[in-house]
Amino acid sequence: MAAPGSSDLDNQEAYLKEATRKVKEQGFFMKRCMDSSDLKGALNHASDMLRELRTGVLTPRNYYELHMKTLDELHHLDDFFGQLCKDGTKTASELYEQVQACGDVLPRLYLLITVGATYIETRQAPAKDILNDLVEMAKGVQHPMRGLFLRNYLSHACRDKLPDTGSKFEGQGGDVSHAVDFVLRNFSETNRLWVRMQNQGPSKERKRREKERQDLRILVGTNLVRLSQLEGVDVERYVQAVLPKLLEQVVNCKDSIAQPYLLDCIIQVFPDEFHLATLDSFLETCTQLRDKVNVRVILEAMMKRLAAGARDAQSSSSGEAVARTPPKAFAAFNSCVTKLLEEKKGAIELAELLRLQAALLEFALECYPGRLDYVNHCFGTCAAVLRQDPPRTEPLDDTEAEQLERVLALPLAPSGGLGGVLELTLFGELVEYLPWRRRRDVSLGVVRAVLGAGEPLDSVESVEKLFSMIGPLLRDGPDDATGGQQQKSSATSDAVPDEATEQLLVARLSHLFQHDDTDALFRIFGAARRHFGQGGIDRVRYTLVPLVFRALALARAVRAVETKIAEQQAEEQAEENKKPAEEPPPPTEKEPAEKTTDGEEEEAPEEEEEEAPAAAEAPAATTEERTTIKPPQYSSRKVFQFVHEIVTAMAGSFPSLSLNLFLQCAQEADKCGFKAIAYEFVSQAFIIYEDELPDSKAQLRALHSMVGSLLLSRGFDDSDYDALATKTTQYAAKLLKKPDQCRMVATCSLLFWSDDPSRVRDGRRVLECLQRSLKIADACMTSSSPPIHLFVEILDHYVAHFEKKNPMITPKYIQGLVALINEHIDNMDRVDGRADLEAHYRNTLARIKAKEIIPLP
Amino acid sequence: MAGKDFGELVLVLGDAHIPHRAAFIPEKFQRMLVPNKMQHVICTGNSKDQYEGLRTLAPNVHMVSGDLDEGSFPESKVVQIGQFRIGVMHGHQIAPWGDPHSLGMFQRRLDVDILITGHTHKNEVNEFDGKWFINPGSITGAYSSLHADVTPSFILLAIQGNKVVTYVYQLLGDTVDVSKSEFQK
Repeated sequence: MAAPGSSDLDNQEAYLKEATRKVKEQGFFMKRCMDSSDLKGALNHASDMLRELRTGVLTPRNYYELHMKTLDELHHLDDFFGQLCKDGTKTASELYEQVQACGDVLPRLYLLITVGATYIETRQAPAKDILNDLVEMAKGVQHPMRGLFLRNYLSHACRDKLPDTGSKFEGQGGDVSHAVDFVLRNFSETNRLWVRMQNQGPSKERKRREKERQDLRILVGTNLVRLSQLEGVDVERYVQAVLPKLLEQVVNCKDSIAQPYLLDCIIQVFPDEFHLATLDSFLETCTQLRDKVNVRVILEAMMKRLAAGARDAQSSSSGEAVARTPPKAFAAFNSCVTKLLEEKKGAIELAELLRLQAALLEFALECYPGRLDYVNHCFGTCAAVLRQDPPRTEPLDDTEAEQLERVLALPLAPSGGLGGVLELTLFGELVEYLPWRRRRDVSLGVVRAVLGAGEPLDSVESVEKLFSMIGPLLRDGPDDATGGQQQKSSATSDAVPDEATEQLLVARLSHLFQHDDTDALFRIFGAARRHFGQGGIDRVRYTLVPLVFRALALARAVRAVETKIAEQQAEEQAEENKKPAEEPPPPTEKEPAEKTTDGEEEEAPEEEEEEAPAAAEAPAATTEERTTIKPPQYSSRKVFQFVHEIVTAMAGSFPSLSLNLFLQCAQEADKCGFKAIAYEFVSQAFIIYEDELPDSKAQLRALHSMVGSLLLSRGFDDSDYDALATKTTQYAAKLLKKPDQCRMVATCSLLFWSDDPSRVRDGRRVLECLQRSLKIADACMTSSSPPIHLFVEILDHYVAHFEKKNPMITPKYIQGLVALINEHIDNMDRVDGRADLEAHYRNTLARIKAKEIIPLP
Repeated sequence: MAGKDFGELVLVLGDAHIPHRAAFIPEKFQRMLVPNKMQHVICTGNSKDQYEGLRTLAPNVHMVSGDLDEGSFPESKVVQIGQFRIGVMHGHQIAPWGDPHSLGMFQRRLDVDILITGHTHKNEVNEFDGKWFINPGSITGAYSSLHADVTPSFILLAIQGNKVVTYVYQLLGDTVDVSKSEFQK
């Protein structure tokens, strides 16, 4: 096969070269005759030139090339004819007669078309008649390729000679209906020739012939472009006169190459409004095509086209798109798809069906934003296709899974604009068909969509629903389970940051949980914890932390309600006890709440049974009729217990984080007036500090937070506070590095002198801290670099405590320290940071001077 | 163009606490935080998730470690912008938290004209003894045990010559409230 093919190719080139030479030669002679006004000679040479087009040897590509070269020459004849008519040498009708004398059909027709165009231009005969004549005469050539090119020339030569609406040939020359008629007839003949190509020659060359046909299809499509360019073709004419003819041709040609090509041309060349007006008949045709034709591609093209139109319309003028796409368009597409399903069930591959649904879905989302029912409908069709009896055992192959993933992902895209992702009823079922990895990607889309919509998740049901949709983000899948650890560690660089990013997104979901009722919100938190809790420690570190903070805020809210109830109860009590004797002093803000509602539980919050809050609520329930505020079913203590459990579970794996969280809990508990709970939380933080913290940097950070938390606290008994403050100071003194010890112990001095005069003010302990700090600094002393920066920092603390009027901190300490620093600072090496240190010291001295603590120069 | 009118613009923000305590920077703020307007971003920490985003806003991003950043960034930073020395710390190291005396101590230690701190989730622009103390608050209005209701806020500094103009942006309900103050060295 290869050898003849290649020699064939050589022959082709040689033949083309020779034919081109002849065309050029005859063209030259033709022009020479034209120059000497020799019409007869010109026509003879033109005929000889055009005779070259009669060849049956060339491939379509080479024939095309020869055709173009010939037309280049033929073009000169146009001008010549025009000139002859203009200067009156010949009339157009004389010319029209004369060229018909040419003996060979093909050259005669080319010449006739050339003259015909000139004839129409002179308007000496009606355009419609000449066009009619030409399109009929062209039937004289029945060889497919020669005929195709001839008709293409006809179409091209007459493109601006049609009696279209508004053209100069309208009226006498006919009207747009004649123009349409001409193009349609030329189109149907062209198409007939093109289709006939298929049936010529031996069947073993079918493949080659199909390729040649594909090369030539533009000659057919051009006619449709012409139709779309006619001014006079409006929607009405398109509906009544144009499309029916085209579709008839499409159906009747029964050709599996022509059908999809022509339908695609129709989709591309005519405007959207034409399509919307004729959608039913178009889709009807789609169900009458040859079996080999992939209808999905055609439907998809039409839906994409209309969707793009809707999108453009929406971006140019907001909101109009909704009105633009008629509501029945979806129904039309849908019934077409359904019909195909019924008729060709089994013949269409699953992937194609899913792809078709994806296209329909995309169309629906673009053209009917917010129509959840359409999305659910498409989901339903997919589910119906996927459900099998007996259930399918094979997983979807990659192409099928890809299409199903697309179906699921489409409504999640930001442009999908769906608020109600959770309303997608069949989502959960469909996602089950996907392999785990793809489910994970889809899940991520769900999370993004939910976060993007920002709509609150306000019930346990919606939270459960959401979590059922994003399972692969919440726990390991079957793939991960088998040696998942190894996989992870082997591909750390890829997998880990990826996972972290995912979990950071999932973690944000907790902030969407919302409910005015604290009990309802607590139930939501409970559901969320249950799901997050299954994720394993690597996920929990991201997902449970937000829940801790949400719960702390909830505890505060519950506490506010409890306080209000307690106040009411106290008022009622006061009313009942209305005796001449004055009512008992009104309770202060926090104390009464503790005593009335929470008194019994106060001491052992962690030992409560699950049911305890409900029991505790019982006495409150009797007062319900009288009070307007409903006592919360879940008390603030219960909420604190909830966070306690969460943080305790994380403490082993993430000590620094958990320590910080415990301190956060302690601060909130203290604020709510629960001193025992606050103490418990701080104790847990201390346990982590002692047992778990990985390094001295973490310890230093922890101590800063501890000091801050203790200073913030208001509720501890003096003895408890003292114990905690003492412990903290001890930790500080045991830090690994001496400078850290020194600084931290000095900082701990703050713990013993509150700004609030009613609270701890132990001047002696303050002094002890500072002196101890100084001693540690002394121990850092080396002759080459005395720790002057530490001395200055300690000096700052002395100054601060002096300003706070601690009687134990007298100017003599400050005096002594200044003298010490002065003694060393001049001898100090020129080290880095000396300028900073000097600036710092200068600032401290300025402060001392401004406050007139000790006399300074 | 902004540079010509306002001098150097410095965006000051922090304590976003995403995803721990908030899901997003409020949309109204997001729309205001656009690239090529500011020369500097100063961040008081607890905003690790925002670091890359902040780097797209301005050529210079100065970030310090918050109490939950586990030491990813320096504890403190001093930046010279125009004639001003500006110190940045998260603030959890400065006890009692938000206390003006203690803040003053760190201002003297860092020898700065302006000390910027966060942690309290409450925005402040204060002057003590001729020095300025700025707290941008929490840009997300993140939960804090220190206050019941946290207002999302950030601050913009316009530094020109010996003058600084501060713009405090607060999200009150659904509207952005801006208050302006000015000080000179």
